[in-house]
Amino acid sequence: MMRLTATAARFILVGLIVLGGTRTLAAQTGREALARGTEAHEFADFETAVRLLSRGLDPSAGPRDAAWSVGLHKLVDAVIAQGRRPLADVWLRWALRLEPELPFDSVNFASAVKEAFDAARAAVRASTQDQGLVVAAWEWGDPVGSPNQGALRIARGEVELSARIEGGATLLPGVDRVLAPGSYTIIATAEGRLPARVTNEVLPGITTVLTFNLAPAAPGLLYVASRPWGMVVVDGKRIGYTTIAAHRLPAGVRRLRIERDGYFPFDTTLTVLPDQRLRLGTILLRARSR
Amino acid sequence: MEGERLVTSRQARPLRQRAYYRNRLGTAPAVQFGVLVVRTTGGWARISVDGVFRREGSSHRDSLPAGPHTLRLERAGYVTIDTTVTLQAGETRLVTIAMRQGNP
Repeated sequence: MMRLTATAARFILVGLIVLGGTRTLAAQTGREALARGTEAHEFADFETAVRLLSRGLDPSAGPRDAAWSVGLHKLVDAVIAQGRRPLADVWLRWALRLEPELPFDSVNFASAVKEAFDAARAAVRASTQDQGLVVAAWEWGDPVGSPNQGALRIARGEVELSARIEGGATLLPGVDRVLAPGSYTIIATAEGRLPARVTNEVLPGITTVLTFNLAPAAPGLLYVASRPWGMVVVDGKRIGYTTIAAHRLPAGVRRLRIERDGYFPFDTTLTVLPDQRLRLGTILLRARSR
Repeated sequence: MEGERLVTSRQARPLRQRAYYRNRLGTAPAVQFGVLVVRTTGGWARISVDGVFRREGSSHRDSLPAGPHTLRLERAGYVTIDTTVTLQAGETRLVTIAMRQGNP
C-alpha cells in the first residue's frame, strides 16, 4: 500500500512537472517569437520577421508592453516592405482597437509606417462599436484555411442569436467562417434583446472569436381592452386578462390573441419596440353561434 | 523627394537575372554575389545603394555582385552618411550605422 502510494505520488509529481513545463513553454513561445522576430527585422529578414512577429503579438502570450509595441511597429514595417500595405492596415486596426492610445515611434519608423498608423487610427475611431456588448478573443493556435486566411466565429451563448456580416454572409454560432484578412462589421440580434453592431478584424492564420452579450430590450407596454373581457395570450402564453390596464411585452414581433369561451378568438401580430406604449383600444369579441 | 532617383525598369531588373543572361550569351565572366545587410541605430534613414534609393527604414538587405558598393543614409535633421562597402563573393556583410542628429 505504502509502495503504491509512493508510486502514485511520483506519477503525480512527474505529471505536475510536465504540465508546468508545458505551460512555461507555451508562455515563452509568444514572447520568444516576439524577440526573435524583432531580431529578424533588424537583419532585414522580413519573411521570418513577419512569421515570428505575427505569432508573438498574441495578446494571451504576454503583456501589451513596450516590446509588444516595438513588435507591432516592426511587423507593420516588414509587411509594408513586402508590398502588402492592406495587410499592414488590418494588423494596425486590430492593435489600435486593443490599444487606442498606442503611440507611434517616429524616431525608428519612417513615413510609410506613420501613414498606416494614422489611417488605421482614423478607421478605428470612425467605426461604430456597441461597447460592452461584445468580447473579442483570438485563437492563435491552429491556423485555418490557407496561411493567408483567417476565421471568424460567433461564440455560442445562453441567448440564441442570429449574426451576419454586414452586406454579406450569415454567421452560425459555434461555426468557424474562413475569411480573408480584413475588418468586418458584424450585426447580432436576438429575441427580446437590443441588436449590436461591431467591427472587428480577421487576421491571417488566426481565429477571431466574438462573444456577444446583448442587452435585454426594455419591454413595451400593451394597453388593450375587450368586450366582454377575455384572456390575453402572447406567443402562445397566457399573460393576463383584458381588464388589467397594461401588459409588459418584450420588444420584438409578438403574436397576440384574446380569447374567451363561447367567443371567436381575436388574433393579430404586433411589433413591439423597446419602451413603446402600444394602445389597441377595445376589441369586440364575436360570440359563436349556438 | 530630394535625393531620390528614379529607377528605370532596366535598372530595377534584378542584378542576378542580368548577370545570368550575360553569362549565357558569353559576353561577361560569371558574376558572384554577396549579401549586404544595412542596419541603423538611433533612427530610420533613407537608404540608397550604388546611388539607387532602396527604402526608408532601419534595415535593408540586398544581394549584390561582389566588389565595392556605395552606401548613402540620409534623413532630414540627421547627418548624412556616405560610405563604401566591399563585398566578397558568398559573404553576408552586416553594416551597422548610427544615425546622429545634426544636419540643418
